[in-house]
Amino acid sequence: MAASSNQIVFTGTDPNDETSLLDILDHVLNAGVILRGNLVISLAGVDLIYVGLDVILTSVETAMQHMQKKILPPAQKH
Amino acid sequence: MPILAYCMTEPAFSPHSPLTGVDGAAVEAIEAGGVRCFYSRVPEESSGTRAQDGALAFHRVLQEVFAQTAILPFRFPTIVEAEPELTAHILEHAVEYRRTLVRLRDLVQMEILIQANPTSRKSEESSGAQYLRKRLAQQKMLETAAEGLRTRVAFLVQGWRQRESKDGLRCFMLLGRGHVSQLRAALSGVQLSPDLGVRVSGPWPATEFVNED
Repeated sequence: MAASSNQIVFTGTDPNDETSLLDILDHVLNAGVILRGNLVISLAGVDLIYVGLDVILTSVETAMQHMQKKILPPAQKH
Repeated sequence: MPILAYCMTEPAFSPHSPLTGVDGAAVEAIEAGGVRCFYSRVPEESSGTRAQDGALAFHRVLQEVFAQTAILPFRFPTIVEAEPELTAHILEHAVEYRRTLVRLRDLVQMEILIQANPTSRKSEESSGAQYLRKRLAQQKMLETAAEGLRTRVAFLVQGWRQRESKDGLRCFMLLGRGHVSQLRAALSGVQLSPDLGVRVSGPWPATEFVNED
């Protein structure tokens, strides 16, 4: 929960606090070790290159939809 | 099966209780090159989990581990095809990772974001030159505030880094894990210009101080 003194606001790492939520997402997406120069997400053979926050959130979901289509069995002809 | 990497710790660390990660997957660990790495398996089928919920589940795992020991987190989502690929990466960088984990063992990162208040940011200048002068003046105000805050907490902080961002001036402080409350108390008493807003967050893993430069 955010507390303030004068104009200083103190936030923690509680995702229920909206201000903290933004900090959390910024941290998990932008801070930390990356495996390669470009972050490459490889899901079931689909390679996606991270170029920004919005793209990565969209691309992972899109990739998961793509994965779902790929694993559906082909229609059988009789 | 693809795996999602969470973070690395020193090999002696073991969590107090089993960890649950993204999509409810059990968090497992491998050890390579004197580094322990936590990961979970990515389901082949989409579970329908929203990306943001996945990021928050990832964050919860990091926080649980970070509450107990220093970590080197991976960015979310870092997904590799299988354990051997993750192991190969860790072995390639093991010396660096081990050294960093030892150096940051009892240290955490607190952050300060200093911004000009929206009303003072509003631009009424009629020319580009006036706009630039105002921007420079604001930047100077932010840097002066940062210097004041830095002086205020110098007795607690082992490292200080700062950089401009689109949101304002970001300052990163490296300090002992047990000094977070003292830091907040020291900053609470600071008087600031009414044209400024300051937000203090943390503690976070000391990712800004992984590089010693």
